[in-house]
Amino acid sequence: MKRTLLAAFALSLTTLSLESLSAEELNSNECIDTTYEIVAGSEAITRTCGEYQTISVYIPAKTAILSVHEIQKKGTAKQTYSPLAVKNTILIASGGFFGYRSDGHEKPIGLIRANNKRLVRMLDWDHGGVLVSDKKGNIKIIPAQNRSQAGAWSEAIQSKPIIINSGMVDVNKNLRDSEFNRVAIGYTLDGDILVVGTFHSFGQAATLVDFAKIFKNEAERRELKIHRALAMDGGAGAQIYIPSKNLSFGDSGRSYFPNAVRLDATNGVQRQ
Amino acid sequence: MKEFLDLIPKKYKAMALCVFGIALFSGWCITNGNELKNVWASFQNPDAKVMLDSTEHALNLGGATDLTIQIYPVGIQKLPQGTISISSSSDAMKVIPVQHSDVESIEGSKTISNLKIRAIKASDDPITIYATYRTGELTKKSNVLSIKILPKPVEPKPHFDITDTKRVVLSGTWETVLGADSGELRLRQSEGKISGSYSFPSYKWPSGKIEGITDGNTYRIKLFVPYKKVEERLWLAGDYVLHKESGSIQMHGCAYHLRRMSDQRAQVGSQGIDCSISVKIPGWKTLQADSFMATASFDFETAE
Repeated sequence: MKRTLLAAFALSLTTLSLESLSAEELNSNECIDTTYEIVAGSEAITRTCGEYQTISVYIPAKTAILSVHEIQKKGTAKQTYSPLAVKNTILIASGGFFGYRSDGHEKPIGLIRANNKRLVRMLDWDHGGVLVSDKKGNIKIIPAQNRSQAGAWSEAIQSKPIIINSGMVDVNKNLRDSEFNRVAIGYTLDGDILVVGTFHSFGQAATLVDFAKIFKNEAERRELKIHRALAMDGGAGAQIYIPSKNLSFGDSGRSYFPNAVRLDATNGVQRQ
Repeated sequence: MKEFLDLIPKKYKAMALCVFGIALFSGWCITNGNELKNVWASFQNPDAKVMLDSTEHALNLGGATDLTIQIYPVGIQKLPQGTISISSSSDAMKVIPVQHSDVESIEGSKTISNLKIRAIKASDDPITIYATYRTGELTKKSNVLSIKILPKPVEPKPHFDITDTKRVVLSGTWETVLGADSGELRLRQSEGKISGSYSFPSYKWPSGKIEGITDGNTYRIKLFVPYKKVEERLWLAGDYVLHKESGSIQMHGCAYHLRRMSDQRAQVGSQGIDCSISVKIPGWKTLQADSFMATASFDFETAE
């Protein structure tokens, strides 16, 4: 009888320890979803799965104005983005690319227009496109082949590649496509805007192909048919900052930020 | 013996005596073979065959290769003490450590493998080398080897990638300081990915492989450390600056010693700026943090 009791006790202990082990594994793999109401119907959903984090921000049509801002500074994203924030800012996201001058200093590259002024000249990239805004609530992504049309818009930022076209993933597998943090901005033909970012603790979040699929999934989850989505600067430059919630997504280190895209709610106070 | 001879018919006696004599002589020869061999060899001159070989038949300028010399006696006489020397058709090749060396007496064969040749000067024509073995009055030359001298390989150094975005390529050798320890990083960059090796002779992990990424003016590099029950890594994070005046590029940042810890969920602090354990990375515990700096010369000419 004693032996039977001892065996039963040992078995219970083993079962309990195995259960606690599987619960720990479950915890380490589980994803945490958090929803944030921002302003004017805008909503952010974050999903954190271990070292990976994805954020999608939905902005209803005609409720936000997109503007382009020069930064050309080194610092953390929060240091460089927070001075741009105004009371009704929904988010600030990564802008275009940068390269180097012959003297070793960084310089923005690709078309940048802000307040009807061209700040950086257009590059003749054969792919990608130009994200444009009239600062009246309309945005559009003009593909590379029609890029000359971008000069007619108040705000413009050239980037690459277009990852979603007519609701479909528009990037192909490519050996040069590596895992990096990513941010993209897309819109529906109704004018809804979707900003998606995917990030990793060590900066290796997703290839462009995988990111395009993530973007498409986020759009479908919100029942949005994205017309076009354009990838903005990736890697350390891939950032999303939501000042009203004091939320920063992206690499926490110092980088050079050539410019940024800001989306402000139209129902608030505007400031340049 | 007499009885034995009486048993043999008279007409065969002479033949039997001859056969017995031959058998006796053969027996003596067998038992005294070595002495006989030496007596025979003393009437002959020593001879040898010398073979020369090298592990490489083309050398980069500054490079060296091992030489192997084999000496075989020809015939049965052992070779007395002698010398071996290497001759070259040009002073562009130098024999190290010495051009001439002594060779002990050889019985059987002898392999000499402690000599090298180094390419010390550029040469358009292949250099021929051969070995000469001398012992007593014997002088034997080896076969002739022909070795090409190639230009010194160009050490990659960080440079601009001449593309539309004119990115920086970090490939090259970097002098580094990690906390109080100096060392070296050897980086190879392909697109945005980095691979290579590290060497910090006095650090708790003296050497190993690395992999990482670079984007814009930032780098994120994982240094592989010996396997433990719970995964650990040394994580280098920071940014770099180009200095045209000094023709150099400098990485600034931090090194974080991390151990996997699944319940660390939040990201805290600025990687590469705050070199303290208060920097938290989701999924990892920060055990130690140190400052990190690396310098390499930069090829600004690629920008022209």
